[in-house]
Amino acid sequence: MTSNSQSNQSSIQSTQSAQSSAQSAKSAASVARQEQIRAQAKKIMDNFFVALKNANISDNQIGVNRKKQTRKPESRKNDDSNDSFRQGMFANAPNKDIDHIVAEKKHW
Amino acid sequence: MSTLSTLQTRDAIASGKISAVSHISQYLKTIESRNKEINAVLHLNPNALQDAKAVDEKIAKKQKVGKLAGLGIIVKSNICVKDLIANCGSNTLANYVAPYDADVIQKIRAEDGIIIGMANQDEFACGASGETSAFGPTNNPAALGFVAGGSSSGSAASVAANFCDIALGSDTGGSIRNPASHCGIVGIKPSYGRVSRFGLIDLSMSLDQIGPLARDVEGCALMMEVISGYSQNDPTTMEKSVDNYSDASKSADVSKLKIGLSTDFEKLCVDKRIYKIISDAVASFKPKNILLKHVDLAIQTYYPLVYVEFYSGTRKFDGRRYGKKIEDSCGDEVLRRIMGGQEISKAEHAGKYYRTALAVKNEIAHELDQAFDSVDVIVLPTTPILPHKIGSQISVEAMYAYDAFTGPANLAGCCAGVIPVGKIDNVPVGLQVYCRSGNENIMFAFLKHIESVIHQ
Repeated sequence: MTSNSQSNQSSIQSTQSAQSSAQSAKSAASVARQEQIRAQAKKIMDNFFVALKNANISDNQIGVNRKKQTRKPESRKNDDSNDSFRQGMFANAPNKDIDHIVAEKKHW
Repeated sequence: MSTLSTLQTRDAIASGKISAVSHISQYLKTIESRNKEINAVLHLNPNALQDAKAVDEKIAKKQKVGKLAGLGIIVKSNICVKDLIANCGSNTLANYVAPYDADVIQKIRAEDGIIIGMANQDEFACGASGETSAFGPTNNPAALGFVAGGSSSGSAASVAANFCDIALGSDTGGSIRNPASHCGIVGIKPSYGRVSRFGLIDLSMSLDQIGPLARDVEGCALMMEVISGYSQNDPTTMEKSVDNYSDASKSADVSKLKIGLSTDFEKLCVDKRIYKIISDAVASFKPKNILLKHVDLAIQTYYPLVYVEFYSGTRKFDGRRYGKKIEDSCGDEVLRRIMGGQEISKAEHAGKYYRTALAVKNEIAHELDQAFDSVDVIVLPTTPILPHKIGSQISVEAMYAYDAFTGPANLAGCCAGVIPVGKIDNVPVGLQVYCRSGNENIMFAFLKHIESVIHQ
């Protein structure tokens, strides 16, 4: 390797290093901006929530009551009305627990 | 050009007295000479004159032409028009070319309307002043130096600056009515489900509606006749038939309408001169006072819903299929809504922010529904203050407060419209009306009446 090419390579490396630090600084600034805005947004939402809560309007009728709607695992244990369908549905499942597929992300 | 009403212009084109090509050419010249100052139009349709020529040819051949024959239309940049840029006023979608026509655009084309171009807007419709656009703020043609209002800033300014006959905007919490009021024109937010949202890049899907802006009530009514109706592309659209809105003044007896005013809105009106203009304009109707107990919570209710729905809706802007990654390319207000939406959607909160807001939303809708049992029309101001000067330092909360009088109509899903009724300090002031969902014909009849009284 000639001294000229060594000097070029060193110059390229120093430019890359400068670009990399500029990108890191930009990225850090971007994260800082996001976090600052996130905190500001949360504060606004919290203030709004307090005002809404003080109105004392019941939210009982809104949306889904999760406790009532959640299926109990035992509820269909003795239901064998459609065994062939169930067998088909669960044929490829790696892990199962009666009526449930036990799934983990990226494992099926 | 501006001395004729929208219907008169349409009739003059349809009868061959004015050619569609000369009509559209005039608008293009006006845009060329004034858009640098106003910054209302972001992109022009290169086929506008060709489309106008096709209308002229139809007329020359004595073929039937549509309801919008030769009228020039400018479209907000969050509504897809095939082959035109739908950038939502954002760098995120700076070069995004719409691959198809929104339902409303298909209907406009079918009625021979001419798409002139795409309008500036607050970024992703997040704003009430027109200042959050990545492509610069829109100047107010009716009060230069002041904001045009938002988020449909370019649509309203285009109408006010004579760049088009009618513009399309979208209204989630007042984005059509606020700029219509500031720019001294007519703007309509249809009942939720009256107009298909297919092809609208959403801000908050449970509140958004596409609507018209024009210099007169007939212009808005005509456009509403065209764009309203059921669409299989949007399951929230109503199956209710579409009335002949542009003839609404003949179908409803205005003298028999019961008008309501609310002292609850009066209390929230920061600039009392605005409330006085509005109440004076309808004094002859001897309006009834109506109670809307929770209407003062409209802002606190509206924004959590918008934050959550907007956050959810923007997950598609991850930089892979559409434009750039939104968090890396958007402005502060858009980022605030994304970050805020993400924060309050966290599992640890179990939906408490959204659920509480939804409960109050239902309460406000219920109160308005009850009010409509005793009155046909509710009259109120459009904004609690006059527009600010471009570039003024405004707090986030103060900016959100612009929506205080417009947001309740979106929360309740009812129809609403704005009409200019005067000026304060040389800045236009719009009178706003609410009518029960689906009662657009009553709303247009009343607005037409107010317009005729003002023009006398």
